[in-house]
Amino acid sequence: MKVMAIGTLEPLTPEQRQEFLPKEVPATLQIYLDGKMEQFWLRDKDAGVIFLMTVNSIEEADKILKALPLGRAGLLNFELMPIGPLSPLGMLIK
Amino acid sequence: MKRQILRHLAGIACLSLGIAGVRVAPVAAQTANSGAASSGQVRLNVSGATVSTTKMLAIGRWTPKATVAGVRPILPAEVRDTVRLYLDGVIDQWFVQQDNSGVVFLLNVTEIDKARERLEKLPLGQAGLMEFELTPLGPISPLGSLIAASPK
Repeated sequence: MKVMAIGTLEPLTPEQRQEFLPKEVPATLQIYLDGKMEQFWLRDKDAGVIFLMTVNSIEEADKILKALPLGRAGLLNFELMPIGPLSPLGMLIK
Repeated sequence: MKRQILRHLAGIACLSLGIAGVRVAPVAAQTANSGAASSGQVRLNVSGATVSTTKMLAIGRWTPKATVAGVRPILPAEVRDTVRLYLDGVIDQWFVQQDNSGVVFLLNVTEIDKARERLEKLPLGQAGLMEFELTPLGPISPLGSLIAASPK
């Protein structure tokens, strides 16, 4: 299943950026390399991130994202939305 | 000639990467590539990493016997069945080739047999008018070298 994960970032101090980002970035890339994340974007003005995930369940997405360094520190919190094909398109083939 | 150049380039890649200490192994039969285009391809696992298959690239081409007159009566059924594949979550993205040579689908399917089974059932496939070449895809593994290079 696909999950759209909308992450909102707490304002980070320069010290927090230095502490977390060198670990956060490779950990995020690893999620992609593991085949669990299809696409990734940064929200405007560093408000957070948006990840399109391919996972077996919403719980799996939650577990993966909460294990990220910023997630563990409570600095990046995600809203998870299960999404799928645009089903109303089916009206056209009835 | 083209193949010779490719071989030459591959040789250079092997040499330079060999110096850098990166393992370079030709990975024959690692991907279950199907279709005519797969023969004679150079296969190199340059990064030494393997990733799992996450998507299937399906390139659909008209067969030699396809004609406008032959395709036209089948098209309405083809469109509906293709939309069904999308609604079933099988088709992730869909395109036509701008030179009218066929379609390109990106499938949410990781097994080549399952992809083939679904696409062969499409009306144009049943009529022998379109054939698909399937290529399993995964996350772009060389990006992993950035993790190895980053500070822990």
